Amino acid sequence: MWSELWSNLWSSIFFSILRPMLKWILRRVTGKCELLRITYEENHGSQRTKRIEKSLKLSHQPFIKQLILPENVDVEVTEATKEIMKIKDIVPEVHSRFSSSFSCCLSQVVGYKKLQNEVELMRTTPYSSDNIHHENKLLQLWNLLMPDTKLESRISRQWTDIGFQGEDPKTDFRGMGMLGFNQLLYFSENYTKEARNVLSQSHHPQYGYSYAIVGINLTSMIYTLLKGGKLRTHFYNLKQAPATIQDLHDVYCYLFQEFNKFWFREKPKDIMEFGRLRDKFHKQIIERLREPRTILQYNNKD
Amino acid sequence: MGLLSLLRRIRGTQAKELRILLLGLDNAGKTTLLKSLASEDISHITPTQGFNIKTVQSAGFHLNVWDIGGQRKIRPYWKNYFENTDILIYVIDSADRKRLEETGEELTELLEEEKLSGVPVMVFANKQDLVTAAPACDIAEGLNLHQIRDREWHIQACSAQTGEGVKHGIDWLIKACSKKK
Repeated sequence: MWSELWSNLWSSIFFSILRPMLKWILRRVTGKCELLRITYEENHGSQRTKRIEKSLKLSHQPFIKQLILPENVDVEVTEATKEIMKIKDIVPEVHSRFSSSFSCCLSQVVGYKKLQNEVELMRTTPYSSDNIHHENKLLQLWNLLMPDTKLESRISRQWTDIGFQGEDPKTDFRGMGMLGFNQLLYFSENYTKEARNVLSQSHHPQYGYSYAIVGINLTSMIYTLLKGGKLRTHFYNLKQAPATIQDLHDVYCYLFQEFNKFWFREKPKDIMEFGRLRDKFHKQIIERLREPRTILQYNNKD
Repeated sequence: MGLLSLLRRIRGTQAKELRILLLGLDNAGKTTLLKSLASEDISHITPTQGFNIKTVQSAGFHLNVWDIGGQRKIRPYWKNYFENTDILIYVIDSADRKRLEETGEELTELLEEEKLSGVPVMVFANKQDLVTAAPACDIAEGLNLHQIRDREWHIQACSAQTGEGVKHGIDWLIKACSKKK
C-alpha cells in the first residue's frame, strides 16, 4: 500500500513539477519546444508519432489536450497544426519542416482513432441472413475458396469443409460480427492463392484445424491489438497517411499466414491445443510490436 | 501481510474444488455462460476451437469450469475431459428446435459414459431471451429427462446473455455437490 502511495506521489510530482521544469530548461537551452525538438530528433516512423502523441497527451494547454481525446475524431489537421505553431511560437520560415512533419504525425494519430471507431461499428454489425448483400458475399466466399466444388445448398454440411462449425455459417461470426466475415472475405479476395494454400493446409490429417473458425479467432486477436493501441507501431511505420480499414485487413492476411506457419512449427498434439498456441502466438506478436521498427507485412514478393 | 496470507491459506484448505464440465452443441452458449459466470465481458465471444477453462469462486467453492468446443469435429475429444468430473453442465440453445434431436442424442450418449456414471447433470435451457425459445418443460420432455434414474438432474431455464436464471442453476449445482461429498 505504501509503495503504491509513494509511486502515485512520485508520478504526480514528476508530471506537475519535474517534467514541466525539465521542458522549460530544455526549451531555454535549445530554443525549441518539445514538439519541435521531437520533429528534429526523429525521422518518420512509430517512434516519432508516438512521442508526439505522448507530448500532446501530457500538455497542459486545453487546445492541445483536446486534440488527442479518444472521442475527438473530427480534428482538422492543417488548422490544428497552424494553431499549435501559433501557441508554441514556431516560425515556419525558420523551422520549415515542422509543419509537414507534425501534421503527418497528427493525421496518423487521428486516423488510428477513426479506424478504431470504424472497426467497432463493423464488429457490432451482426451477420444477417435477411440481408441480400451479406448472403451474396457469403456465397462469394465459398466460390473464392472452393472454385471447383459446387455448394449444393445454402444450408449445407459442406460449410464445414472451409472450417465453419455446422451447416449455417451465420451463427459462427458472433462477437466479431461483420468484421470477422469481411476479413475472411478480404483474404480470399485479395490474396486468393495464399488463402487457398492456407485452407488446404488446414485440412492436414494430423495438424488440421477449422479454417473459418480460426480466422474469426484471429479477427478477435487483431481487434484486441487495435483496441489496446498495440497496432500503432505497425501503422505509424507503414505509411505517412492515416491507416485505413484495408490496411487493417492486410494485417489480418499477414497474421493468418504467420499463424498457419507457427501452428505447423509447433506440431500440436491435436486441435485442443489451439487455445494455448493462440495465446502464445498473440504474445509473440505483441513482443514484435514493442520493437519500434516493426511492420507486419511480407517484404515484396517473398 | 503474514496474518492475511495465513488466513487465506486456512480458507484455501477449506474451499472445496469442483471440476465442472460444460458441454453442448456448437452455438449453444457455453462460452457466454462461462464468461458470465466469471463476470467477464460477453460481447466479444468467438467460436471455441479447443477449450477454455476458468476458475470461479462461489459459496466457498472453487469451481474449475471446463468449456469444451461443441462442433461435431471436436466432440470426439470430449471424453478426454470426463475423468474426475463432479458436475456435468449441458447447455442447450432453446431456440434451435431443428437440432433438439441432435442435442438429445449427444446428451444420451454422455449419460451412458462409464466415466460420468452417477455424476449429477444440470441442463441449462439457454437463450430464453429469444422469443422463439422453447420453454424448459418442453425441452425436458423432448429429451426424456424424467427417465433419468441413476443420478440427480435438474433443468434450468436461463439466458447467459442477460444472466437470468444462471445464479439459480449454480445454487442447485452447489447443493447437489454438498450432498454428494
